[in-house]
Amino acid sequence: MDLGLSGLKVILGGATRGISRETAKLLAAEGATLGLFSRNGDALDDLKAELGGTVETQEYVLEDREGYRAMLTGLAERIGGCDIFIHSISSSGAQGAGDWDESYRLDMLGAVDGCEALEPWLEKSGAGSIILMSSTAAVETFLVPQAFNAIKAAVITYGKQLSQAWAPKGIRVNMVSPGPITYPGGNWEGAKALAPDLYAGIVGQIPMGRMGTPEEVAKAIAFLASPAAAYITGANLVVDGGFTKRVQF
Amino acid sequence: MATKARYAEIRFNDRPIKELRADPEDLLLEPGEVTADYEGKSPWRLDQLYPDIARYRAVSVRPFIDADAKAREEETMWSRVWLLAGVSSDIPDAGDWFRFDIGAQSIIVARGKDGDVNAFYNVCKHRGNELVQEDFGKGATSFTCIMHSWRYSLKGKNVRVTDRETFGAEALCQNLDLTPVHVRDWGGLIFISMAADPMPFEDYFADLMPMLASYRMEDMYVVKDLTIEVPANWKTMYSVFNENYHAHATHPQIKPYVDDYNVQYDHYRHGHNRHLFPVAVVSPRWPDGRFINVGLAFMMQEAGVKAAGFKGDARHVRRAIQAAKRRPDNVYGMDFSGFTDNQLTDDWNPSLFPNVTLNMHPEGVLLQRFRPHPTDPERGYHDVMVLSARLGEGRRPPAYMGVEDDVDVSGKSRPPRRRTTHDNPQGGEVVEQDIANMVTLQRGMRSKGLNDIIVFSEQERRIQQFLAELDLYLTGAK
Repeated sequence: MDLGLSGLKVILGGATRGISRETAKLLAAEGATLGLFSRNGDALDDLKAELGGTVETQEYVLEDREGYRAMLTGLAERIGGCDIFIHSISSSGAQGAGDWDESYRLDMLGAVDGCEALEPWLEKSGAGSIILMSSTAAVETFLVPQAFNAIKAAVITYGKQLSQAWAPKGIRVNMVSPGPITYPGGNWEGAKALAPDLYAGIVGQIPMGRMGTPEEVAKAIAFLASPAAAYITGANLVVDGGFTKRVQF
Repeated sequence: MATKARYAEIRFNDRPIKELRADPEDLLLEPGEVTADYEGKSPWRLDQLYPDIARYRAVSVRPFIDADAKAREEETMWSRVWLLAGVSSDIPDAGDWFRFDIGAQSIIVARGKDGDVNAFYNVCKHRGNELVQEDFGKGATSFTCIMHSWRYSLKGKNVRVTDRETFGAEALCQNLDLTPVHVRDWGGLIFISMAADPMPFEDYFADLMPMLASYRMEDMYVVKDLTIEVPANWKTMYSVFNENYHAHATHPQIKPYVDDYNVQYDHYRHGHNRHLFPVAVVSPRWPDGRFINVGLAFMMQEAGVKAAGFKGDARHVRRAIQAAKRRPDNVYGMDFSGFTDNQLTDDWNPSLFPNVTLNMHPEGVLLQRFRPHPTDPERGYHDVMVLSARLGEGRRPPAYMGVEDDVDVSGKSRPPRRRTTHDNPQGGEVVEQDIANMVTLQRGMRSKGLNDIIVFSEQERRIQQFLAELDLYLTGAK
């Protein structure tokens, strides 16, 4: 099945690590043009060299909302538009899962500002598609009451509402909610060192008996973002190996 | 959970180190803005101190097993060096004393009425009964033998031979005072030497004294005291600690926040040496050196530095924590002046020949000592003592020191000495991982598969030095 990603222009943040990095690699392999940003400029350079193809990068630390909108606009201009926007920056990537201000600023306002700043290009696209990254921490209780979980739930609600509003403009909006995902150097890898009992306890709750990989989530993101999912909007795709136990109607 | 299973997923899957150092002594940790002479490199290199050091890269296991090696150590080494006997804060007042056992020898260290510390063999000069059996005493005015009530002053002078008239002149003409040993009360630590004429204390420890003094151990007090009986030779036990090479496999959990490879090695005269471990730095063996991982984030939080919104990556965390500790309103409630920037985060790990290793931090010191068994060359005692500085209200010593959450660390009460065994040492996770190695190393050394030989890498230079210095005593060169 051809996903129809070839030649589409994708803007993606947090691109140098984990799920976002694998997503960037997969989309590049599918022939998409990428506009990537990250706090880590050196790692962006390394990734760009690894990907080849048409990739524009921007080292960026989100400090204020206007600056973020301007950066995204600039990146869209550099790659000549935006067909797909993947909102993946998060407080959890900065060890701020417990920090309400950071989670609101990055996960929530980052979604709102990103969508609004890129709306003109997405509307023009004809294949306009937004992926808002959420988490299984939004849909079932997880660990402790904390900012990350609650704000990720708010992101799903916002995305669903947005999908209704922007469907007439030809822009699809979907959410992807990964369960626990592990990779070398990632947060769960740290938990293996610092909270091995917690780590083992979580793995024990996953029917598949293991945490997921960034590659497995990247494939779900690529499908949902692509024209192959043209009639899907407002969905929240859970990628969790059966970790969550609720029935999703 | 068994310790080997506990970290199975991160134990053996390290990233290879890109640039291995052929000569680990080259490395000097970059000083911060506040530095001191004592954090510079040692003026000596190991091969200058021991021209025949190459002999100690492959050594026989016999000294770790044999009874005659044990006897020779007692005769030529233990009886001649300076030994850490205890800490001054345990005997603050006149009449306070503690007992220190080393092999078959037992020593009493007591503070006299003049405030001076005296030390003597713990043996009644009548028929050789041990004079005290407890570990500590307070407010004594004399020592009286339980068997026939002979009595000695706090300075060891015989003040009573009960029924003196019933002893003949041949008995009474002997020296009936307790036999003294040399003692030094320095920097919060009390050392003894059983030598008749020991090397001057200031010479023996000259190279380490400025560094040791900087930690102000005289203001610290014991918050944990453990003696663990381990089925291993004391040298096996000591050698488990005396290198950084084991950390990645034995203690895989530290890799997110301790650099176990880029460590400063310094070798000093008279068998002493040190490692300086950068802490709040990701190990080069860990797969991601930039991302602020959970361990670094915890350390930042502990020091009052917010991880979220932090301007910088993992490489900037160590200096940021140092800066946070410098603030007058730091969360530790401590005055860190007098310490270098690097001391504020790093683990400074000097080893004092022959049998002590210290992990030093401004907030506290983990003091470990390894003692031979009185008779069995394949048994020994592992002493674990944690000294705490006076911390701000509600602060705890660093977690890896293994001080249980319910222990009073205010200094108001001194915890009793716990005696445990290697089966359940109660030493905290890091110490217990090492103890497991002691037991299996000792068992393995009897294997015919070794052909009698074990080998040491250049990352294990401190052990090479330890064995070379020990040989100087055993061969009579020292």
